[in-house]
Amino acid sequence: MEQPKNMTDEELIKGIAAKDHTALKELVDRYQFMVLNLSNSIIGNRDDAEEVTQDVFFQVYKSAHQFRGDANLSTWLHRITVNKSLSFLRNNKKHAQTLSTDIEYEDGNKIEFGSSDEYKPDELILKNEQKKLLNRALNSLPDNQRVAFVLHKTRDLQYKEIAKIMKRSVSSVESLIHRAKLNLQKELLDFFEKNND
Amino acid sequence: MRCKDAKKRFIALIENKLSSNEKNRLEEHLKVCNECSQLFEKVNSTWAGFNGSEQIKPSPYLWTRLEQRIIEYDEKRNSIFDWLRLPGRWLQPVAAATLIVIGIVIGYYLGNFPTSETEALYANAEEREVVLQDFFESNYLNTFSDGFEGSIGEAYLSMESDF
Repeated sequence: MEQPKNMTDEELIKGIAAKDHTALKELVDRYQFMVLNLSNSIIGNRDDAEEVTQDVFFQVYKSAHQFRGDANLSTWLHRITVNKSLSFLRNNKKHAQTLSTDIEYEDGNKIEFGSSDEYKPDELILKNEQKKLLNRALNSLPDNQRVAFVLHKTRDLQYKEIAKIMKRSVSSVESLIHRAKLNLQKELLDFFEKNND
Repeated sequence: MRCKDAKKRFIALIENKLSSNEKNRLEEHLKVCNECSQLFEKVNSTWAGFNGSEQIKPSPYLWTRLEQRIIEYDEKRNSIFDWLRLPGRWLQPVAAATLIVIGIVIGYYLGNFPTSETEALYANAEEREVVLQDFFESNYLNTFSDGFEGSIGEAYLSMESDF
């Protein structure tokens, strides 16, 4: 029998549809980083993103038999991650917004998991303040704009790929990203003008 | 360029999306306008956070938790399918429910069925009256109907005068 590490994505999906846990584990190893970071970019909270990541792979396990291969696996996973993250935000709107602007940065474990350990304390505080501000600005965007912007900016995906994930035309994605940038610019300017010291 | 127009072009400048003419005009404005210049620096450094956005590492327990969840899901799913597959499993409660219903129906009819011959005779009020009448007559209980009318004292005196 072929080792899961040597399997293609399609073979892994077939294995998962046959309830093969080793195939699922291999899929998790391949894509957990992408799923977690995309979810974190949308939700703005690490713990919630972890929860969503688990939900995404659980969903893959349950519906692998429905995967027809119209889109590639990566697109399908991006789509599930976006939907699960937005759904999480809708179901936990108050909670998520509170957390996204109130992250505990002093927690050693949280810093350990991230890549911030190269920063000095002052830089870390400044960076975290910046992160809070970015999260708040992102949270102010409508869902579609936020998703398109995050996929483009933080996942570095091409418009064509984003269009497939969001099931929209390329021009529509372009428009969403453009409007997202204008709204973010306005949000940042408003913030700095109000807090001008 | 006015401050208002300059601010609208900050992100475009950062992302190098302005025409060379617009870029020159904006940069000239930033050189002479201290307020816009400071604001641009703040927006620029914050926007950079999107470019090198911090990548987080998954928890080492992600797979363990997920595997536990799918094991529980499989067990639950299998138990439902097993239950549906084995007729004995779902026939038992169906048979038990049927027996209970039959028992209730039988109990209902037994409870309303006349239990003795007397109760059958009392089935309606008229029949009951006739039966009582027959009963009194057959046991000489209606002989008082031709007795003395009046008080007990008068009856006693009347009986004494007869002797």
